Amino acid sequence: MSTPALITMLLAQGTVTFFTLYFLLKVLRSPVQPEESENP
Amino acid sequence: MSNNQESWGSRLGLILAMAGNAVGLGNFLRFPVQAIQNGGGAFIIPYLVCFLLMGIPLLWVEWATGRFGGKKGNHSTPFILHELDPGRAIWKYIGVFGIFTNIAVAAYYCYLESWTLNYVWMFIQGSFNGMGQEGVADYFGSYVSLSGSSTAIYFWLLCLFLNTYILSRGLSGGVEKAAKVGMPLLLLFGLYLAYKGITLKAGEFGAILDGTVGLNYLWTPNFDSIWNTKVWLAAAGQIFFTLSVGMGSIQCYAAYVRSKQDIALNAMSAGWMNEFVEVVLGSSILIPIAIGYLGVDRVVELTQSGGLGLGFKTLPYLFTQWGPLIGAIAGICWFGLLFFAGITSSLAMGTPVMAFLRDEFGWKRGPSAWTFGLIVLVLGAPTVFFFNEGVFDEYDYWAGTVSLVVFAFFEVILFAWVFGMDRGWKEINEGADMRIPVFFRWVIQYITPAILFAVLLASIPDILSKIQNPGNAYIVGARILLLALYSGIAYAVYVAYRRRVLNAGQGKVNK
Repeated sequence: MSTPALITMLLAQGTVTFFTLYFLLKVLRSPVQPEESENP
Repeated sequence: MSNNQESWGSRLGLILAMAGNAVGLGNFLRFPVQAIQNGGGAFIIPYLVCFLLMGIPLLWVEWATGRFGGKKGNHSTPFILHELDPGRAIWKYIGVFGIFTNIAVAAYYCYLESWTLNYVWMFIQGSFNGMGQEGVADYFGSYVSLSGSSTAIYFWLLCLFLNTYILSRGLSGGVEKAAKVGMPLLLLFGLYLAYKGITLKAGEFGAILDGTVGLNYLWTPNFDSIWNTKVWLAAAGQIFFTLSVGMGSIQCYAAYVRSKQDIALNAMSAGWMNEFVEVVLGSSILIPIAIGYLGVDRVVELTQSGGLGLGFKTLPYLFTQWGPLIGAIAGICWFGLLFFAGITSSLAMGTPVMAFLRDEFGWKRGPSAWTFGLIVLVLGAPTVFFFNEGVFDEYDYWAGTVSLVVFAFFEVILFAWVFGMDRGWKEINEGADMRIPVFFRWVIQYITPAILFAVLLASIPDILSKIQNPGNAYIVGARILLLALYSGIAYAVYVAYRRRVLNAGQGKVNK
């Protein structure tokens, strides 16, 4: 692969993977919210 | 009074269902083709900018309006939108798009989904082995033209039945369970195929080029392209369709979220999960494998009409080059992941319709699910029987393209300018497990509507040209059907509203 293509791919896929894992981990680490009345 | 007491079983289940709603066949078949046609690696710049300025804001708007509607017992867009501005009748009828689009898209999407199921079956049986490239392409042609066999019809009915059955099991018992099984399998299959695509070696199993040649072609940036308006419109379109915004399904799913539960972080998590599937997996399968076997020029030629042909006519043959066992595994993974991508989306299309019937007419879960199935069966039949006459594409254009942009434009205007940004911002941040940069408040109010308006404006010449040149009688018939569907739903909304007014007058409903 050429260097520009490799850099673009790694930057794009790296960014997307980072944010996917970041937000997923943030969800998994969030405290479980207390049970409350459901939306009707 | 509504007997709609559904709720999500878990937060992860909700996120997987929302991500499953967004992840569709387009992540694997449309994105890589859009990228190679619009500047290669440079396409990612307008793509991510549009995700930031249009995709994420729309996700928050839709999640927030959905949860807001749900607090008042509304789970489908006609009355969710009505709740945002109860003084004006028009929003209910704009909200009709949120039911219309789901039915009309499900009508052709379930058929598309059934192809993937059939191809999985073909690979399990080993039917593609020794068929040859033309044989595989011909199989697709004869399959969709129903020539000499009714297989396509049986698989379509099976697919419809599966969708309807899962929907009839409810939100946590059906949709959420399907997402919890489907999404991990989709990721697993995708990772396996991406590995096969990237590690493809020239000279092995008949490949003429390394898989990295395809990656190189897809990711080589042509930075001149980012000055081209067409490329920005393509990026905005891709972000729009990949996130399933403007459909009414996100609002419906979010309407079942608990009243003070986070939506900001959930929306981000589901949205980025979709981006991972699209940018990481979607770019590493179709194009690297196809270019590895066919070369750049041939693949560019084959993708002129989109990625569907490459995915269904060419890839099955290429998989058979890997030998009977690995070929079958790859074929099952490819069409299996497309099937899971499809069914998690089509289930999301059924939910708003069921929610409307349950909220407004007090129907139970089972009858509303089977009614949805029946409507999709009737409306989908022309796409099956007149596929080659262009009915399938016509549904896709009006319901799956134009309606989404129109609906999203009006809903963001309603949210930011009529409901008001002060209340809207408060609604988005209520119970949030993350801090949203204030910058997005400004984006939702000004930038997102402006981008949507630009997309809408840019599509007007094409819309006018389509109206002036209908093509054939089947296409005219398809348009009449779609118009009848929209009118029918609008009438049902009118009846439901009259019932509400009547019930409120009799003191049956606390308004």
